[in-house]
Amino acid sequence: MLTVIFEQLSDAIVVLGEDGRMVYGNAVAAHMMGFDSPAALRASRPEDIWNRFEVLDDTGRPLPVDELPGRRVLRTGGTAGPFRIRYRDKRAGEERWTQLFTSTIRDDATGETLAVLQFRDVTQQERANDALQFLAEASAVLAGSLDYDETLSHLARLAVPRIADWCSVEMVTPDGSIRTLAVAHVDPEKVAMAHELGRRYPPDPNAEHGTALVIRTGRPELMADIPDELLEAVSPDPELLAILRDLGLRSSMSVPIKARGRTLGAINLVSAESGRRFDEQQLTLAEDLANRAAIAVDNAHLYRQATRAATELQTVLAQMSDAVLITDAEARVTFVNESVARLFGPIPIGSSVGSMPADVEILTPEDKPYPVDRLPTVLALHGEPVEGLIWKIRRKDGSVVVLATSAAAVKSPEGRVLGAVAVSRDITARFEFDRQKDDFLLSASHDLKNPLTLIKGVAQMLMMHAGRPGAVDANSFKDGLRRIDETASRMSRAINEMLDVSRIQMGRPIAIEPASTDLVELLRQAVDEQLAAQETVSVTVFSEVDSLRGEWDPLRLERVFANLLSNAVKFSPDGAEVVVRVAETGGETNEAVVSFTDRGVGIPQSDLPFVFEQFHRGHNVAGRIAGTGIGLAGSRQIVEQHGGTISVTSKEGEGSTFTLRLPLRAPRTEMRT
Amino acid sequence: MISPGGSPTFRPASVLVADDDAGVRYVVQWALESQGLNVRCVATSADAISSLRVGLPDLLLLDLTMPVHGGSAVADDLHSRGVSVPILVITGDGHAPEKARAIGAYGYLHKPFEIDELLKAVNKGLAS
Repeated sequence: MLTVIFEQLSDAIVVLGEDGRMVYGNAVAAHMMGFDSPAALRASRPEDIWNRFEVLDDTGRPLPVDELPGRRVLRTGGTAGPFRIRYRDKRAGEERWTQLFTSTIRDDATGETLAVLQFRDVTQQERANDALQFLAEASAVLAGSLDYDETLSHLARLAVPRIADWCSVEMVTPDGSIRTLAVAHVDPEKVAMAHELGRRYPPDPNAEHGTALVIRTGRPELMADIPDELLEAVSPDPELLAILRDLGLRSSMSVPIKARGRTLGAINLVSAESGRRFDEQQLTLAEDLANRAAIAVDNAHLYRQATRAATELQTVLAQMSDAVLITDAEARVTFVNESVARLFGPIPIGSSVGSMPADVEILTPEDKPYPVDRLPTVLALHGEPVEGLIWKIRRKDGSVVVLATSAAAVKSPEGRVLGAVAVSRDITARFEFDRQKDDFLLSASHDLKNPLTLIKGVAQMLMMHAGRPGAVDANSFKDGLRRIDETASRMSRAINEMLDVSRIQMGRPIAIEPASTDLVELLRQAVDEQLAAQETVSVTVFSEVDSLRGEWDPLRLERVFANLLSNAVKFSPDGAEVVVRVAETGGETNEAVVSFTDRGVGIPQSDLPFVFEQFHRGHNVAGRIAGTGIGLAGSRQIVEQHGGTISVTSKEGEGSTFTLRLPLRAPRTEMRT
Repeated sequence: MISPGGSPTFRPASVLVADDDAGVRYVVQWALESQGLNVRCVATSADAISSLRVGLPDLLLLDLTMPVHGGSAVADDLHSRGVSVPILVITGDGHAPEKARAIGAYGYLHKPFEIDELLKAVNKGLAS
């Protein structure tokens, strides 16, 4: 009756006698142990079974027969289990798991104690658990670092001997060739040999099997049994063939490492000593492993790309002469490039944009205080992007910088404001240039329209009265005409000077016309004109000589004197004295030396090097119209075209002295046509 | 009322001319005196302010770009004193209309102007 029940069960039932002989086995047991029928199972000897199977303990080593649960229960009696038994079917080459319950019964007939073993195949579950466990560990390894050379090597070592006897990882290099990243086997000598073989017999990228094929097609390859013909096919010489055969390679899987449609490499798993035979289920595990590896490799690449892009961006920002400032949504500074410190002074990360450092003044182009709520970044954060907004900064040292700033908000893809970026350019020179041009045009208008008013007016007056005798006497008539003539001459000089100024502003040389000129006389004329224009400041000339002749362009030199005199007077307090000295150096390099000394506000040290520059705006300059005069830059150009030099010394609050040195003969220059 | 060539029936009208250019002062003075007007000239805004404090003319001819503070300072001073005088602006500046309006002038002339334009504008101011 029992046997009827046993035949119905899906578990394998085996009954063993005290001597270990098979008393009974059901059909499932027969099948499990590789026999055609229960009868064949019963007819077998114990050795037949134990030779076919290898029972392994947890570490994968064969269990001694005495330790087998079936034998033990005979000694101990009672019931025991469940035991989890791992065993290898040497013939099929696969590992399986079974769950075993043992118990004993007594044969009433013979009085023998029999062991009843109930086996349930749990291979599926065990394999699944094992696979999950392995994949979890593999993921941990891959996540360990971005250095995938390191993590993939570690992974290969993890796979042996758990998943396979051999594991290798091959990667595609940028030039398209295949590089062996790692080879693993429990025996380090075999690993060394594998590397050596790899060197001696480099893989063929066009091979029709193995890594090369998998990488080319992007599809996995499973060889449940490696045929000998394949070994022959890959061995160019008998030596390699012998080695391969010796290794006892049994089964192999090759899976591609693919990310975003591109094959980055392959993982190869080969069984040898263990006799394992790979199947579809294991191929699935291998593919999962390869997918995880692919993600890790891809992440590492993406990270490297992102880091490189960030570094490039950092370098660009650091090199830019424009100042780049980035804030978060609350207008707190999150990034500044090097140029920010240069233009604005140091701005600490985390500081609020509205609160500039205390020693920096923010001004409008008209030098009024700038409203903090209209700062470019603030405007951008509130939805008003700014382009080319012009404003000024007065720094701690008093210098003023004019900036053009563009600012825009940084938004998330959903449109939420994340912060703002402001880019500022120093346009001080251009601003000054434009202002000088405006000043020039204004003054030109003034200096031409006034004389014209006289010329027209007098001409019209004379015409109105010409017909009526006695309306204008002859002297008044002549006087009027004389004035027209003089004024026309004055205009002509003014126009010539404007042309000079124009050329100087464009940086072009002017065609000086040296002639025999008495410098002392020229100077006195300039002083007289200056004194005629104002009376509050006196000018005294001290000359070592009564006359000083040289070859100079009198018109241009006179302008230089007029410029220096008017500056000296302009910056002197009422009642002060401007002193002019003239001397001749004598000797080989005979030069005329003329100096203009005032007791005015003086020039700050920081400005001194720039005083003769075209577009420099000094700190002490009262915001006055520059006029159509040639200015200090023009004076310097004229003096230098004469082969001379101009220099200045000054002390703030005490005054300044400008000194000209002019060789008596101008350098010979070709006439410009 | 003054008519060209006619004799005044009461004291001649007085005009203060404020302009920094000597040539302009010369020709305006000549033109206005030839109409029998009493003309006084000053070259700076400071001098103009002083003169106006001493006595108000019947008309003020004002150049806007005088040193030191320009013509508008003169107008501001009158305003702050609560007195007024008809002001005719003369200027080489392009923004004459707005600036003239801003200081309360009744008219403006662009330099260089025609003499008859000048006389017409002056008469208009004196008539009011």
